Amino acid sequence: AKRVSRIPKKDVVELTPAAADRIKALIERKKNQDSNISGLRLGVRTRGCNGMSFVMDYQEEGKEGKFDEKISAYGVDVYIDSKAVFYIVGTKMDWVEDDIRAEFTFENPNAKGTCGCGESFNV
Amino acid sequence: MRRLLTRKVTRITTRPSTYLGITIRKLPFPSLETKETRPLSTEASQELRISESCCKRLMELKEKKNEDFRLRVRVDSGGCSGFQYEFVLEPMKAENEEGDSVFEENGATVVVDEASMEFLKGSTIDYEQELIGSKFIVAANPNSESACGCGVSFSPKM
Repeated sequence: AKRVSRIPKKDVVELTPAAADRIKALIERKKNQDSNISGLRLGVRTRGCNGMSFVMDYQEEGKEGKFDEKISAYGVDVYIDSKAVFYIVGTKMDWVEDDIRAEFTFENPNAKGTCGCGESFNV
Repeated sequence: MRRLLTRKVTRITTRPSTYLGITIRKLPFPSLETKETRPLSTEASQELRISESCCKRLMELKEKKNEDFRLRVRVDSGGCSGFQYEFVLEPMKAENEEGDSVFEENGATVVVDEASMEFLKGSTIDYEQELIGSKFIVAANPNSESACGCGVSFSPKM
């Protein structure tokens, strides 16, 4: 018989409930205009003063990449670009909101250095 | 800088007249009799623009917190490009420091101190709303030579 691990597979990116709530709100808002959305898509782009920064977009249904990682947590789906997985595995994604800013934050254990503002990082 | 430039371009193409045509009124200093304050220049390049989204956000915050306050923009040393912008909300009643410039637009108030104003002349205070997050930014600063990717830090033209 095939051996099945009883340890659940850990998500590539961990979502906090606050992040999931925000994603849910974003997707619901977008779905009102465009029903072809299956979730949110997370990737990295070479940008910023420290090499890479996170980019986010809506995921169109049926346009998911073959090797993209899908994360389902708290009722939301997030797709991680297959090319980004290597750089961001283990990242904790949170949503912080105060008077001056309201944004997703990423705690990336692979990052060797980050920019002062925390937006860009290098691996 | 690259990001600032692209941002500027997209703004102009999508919202042609939202902030380019904004007029800025200057408030008189309440403490003008007691304190000696530098008269504000009337040159257009000396002024600060406040974008529509920035006004909207400040009004939203006012409503939510149910109190009157203003946004103070400061330029401090630090960040990866030498200088960085700092945004603080302070009560409307807060006293003006010497040399403060106060700008008002549709009920939203932005205040800048004298030293920071040197670095901010001609820029636009904007509230950037993207999927990944929303925050106050200083956009299209003509005094900045290059800026960090996130736009928080910049190096001034010497």
